[in-house]
Amino acid sequence: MTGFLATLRAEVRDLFRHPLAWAGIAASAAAAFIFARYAPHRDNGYTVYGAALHAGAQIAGFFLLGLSAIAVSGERSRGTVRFVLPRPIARSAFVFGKATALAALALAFLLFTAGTAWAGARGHGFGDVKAEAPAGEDDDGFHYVDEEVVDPAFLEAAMRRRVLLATLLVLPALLTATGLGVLVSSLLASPAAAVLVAIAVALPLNYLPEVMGLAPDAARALPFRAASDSLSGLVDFGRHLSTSDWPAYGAVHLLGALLAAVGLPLLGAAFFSRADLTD
Amino acid sequence: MVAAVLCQGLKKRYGPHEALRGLDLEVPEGALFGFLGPNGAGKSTTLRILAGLVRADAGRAELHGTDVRRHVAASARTTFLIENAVFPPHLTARETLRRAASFLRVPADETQLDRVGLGHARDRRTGGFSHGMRQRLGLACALVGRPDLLVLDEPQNGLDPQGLRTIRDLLREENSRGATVLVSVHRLAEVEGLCTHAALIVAGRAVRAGPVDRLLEGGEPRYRISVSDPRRAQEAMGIPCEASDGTLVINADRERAAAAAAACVRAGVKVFSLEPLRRTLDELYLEEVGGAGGP
Repeated sequence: MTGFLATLRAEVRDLFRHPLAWAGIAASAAAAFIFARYAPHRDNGYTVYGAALHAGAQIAGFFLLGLSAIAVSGERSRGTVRFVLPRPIARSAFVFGKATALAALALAFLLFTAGTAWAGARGHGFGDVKAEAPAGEDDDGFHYVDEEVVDPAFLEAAMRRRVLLATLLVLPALLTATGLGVLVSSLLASPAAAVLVAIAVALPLNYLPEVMGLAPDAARALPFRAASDSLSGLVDFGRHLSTSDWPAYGAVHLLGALLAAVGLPLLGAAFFSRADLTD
Repeated sequence: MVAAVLCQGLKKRYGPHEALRGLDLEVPEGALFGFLGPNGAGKSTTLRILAGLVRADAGRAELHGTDVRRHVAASARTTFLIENAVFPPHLTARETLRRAASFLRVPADETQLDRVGLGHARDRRTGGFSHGMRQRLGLACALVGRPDLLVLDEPQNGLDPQGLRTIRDLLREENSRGATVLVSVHRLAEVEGLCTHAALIVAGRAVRAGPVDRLLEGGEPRYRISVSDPRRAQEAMGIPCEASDGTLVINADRERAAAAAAACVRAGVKVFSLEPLRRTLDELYLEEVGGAGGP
């Protein structure tokens, strides 16, 4: 893919100078921090971190979707493809250079968002996550009293592993968003249309993993949960998995996300390579 | 010898509009080649096909013997300026030049900015450039890496007279160092006396092509006669002629032109010079285009 490195270098420089990129990083990092900072104090830091990361990642996803949707279409509408593509650069290298630069930006989004989520969650203190078992009666007539229980899956050591895995899982999820954006961007010449189509397609796909599954019962009490759930979409796989099940869930999620992150730009590159650029 | 540019039977259709209808074109190595034609004749489509931006529906196009469908190999020794130059607006002129060089994997030669008259603006962002400055920067980027072939699509667009002169000088210099230059224009005055070769394209086909001298051969013989008193000279010659700035242009062969000059002398009119006139590209153009969509 001749021209890949040259395109990648140019794109990384352009993306990290793009005001929308820094606005997005600031917005998602701020959202994560505020979410964590103002969560009820009875919640555990790990729980708060998971919820705050999820909130920030939602915003990051939208910004990355937008930025990737204008990556190719923006160049076409501005006419700068006439500056780049007559040079000895394969069009597939052009598309993949952009996709890879967006992946680097996604990593920056994650680092900033996770960092501020962690900073906000520190005030809550870390430790074992306790779940409340409310008083009641089961079908056989047994009576229960209120008590706090600690599931082995929510002991502090397990929570650390969950936090790390959940954080790592956000990256391929964000890459799915950029992959989708790059595909749409390669198909459409209008940046506005590309952004709208990318968002319309991404919303029902639930590309973000349910990182609030870190500590489901405690997370339920968090503020803004309803809004967050409506954004996160339809499925809630991670919520009641034990720590030992997470690698399997993570592997499936990771594989799907990586397929999307690589496969969607590949499709876009195949289309874009055959398109007549008359803009 | 392999042609720098070769097009054979090139066809391209955009929906119902047939932009190219079997274009044949050969640009010899070392030529300064003018690609002429009215607006909508197919010049830009041809250059976009050469640049790999548009795919031909049929026919062949080659740069230095390499099919343009193998874009990376075909464009390795060629630089392009396609239509109005547009650059990422946040980059400075210097950064834009460096980027162009990085795409070609050659060192960024910043003296090119001085050559096109942008030395003073090298650290200004291109987003604030005028149209003429962008054209100059586009040309500077096309000059980076000392290409063997420059393909320029109406590079004179938006330039002031000084800019036009700069472009003409640069094209001559590049051609003198051995580069082939293919430049598309629709204002013929800008290439008159500049190009060694030319092709005239009308409605998607090349109707005339070859060395400029040969293209301008033929047609009705004409002479320009410079005299002290054009009005009296016109009466003395007794043949129809066009008067302009103390000179007369007569449609006549060598013998009749000499006779006309002698008649002027006999009538007491001083004859300063008598020179044969060649056809101009303008005239050739109007013959082929028929006055429609003039230059």
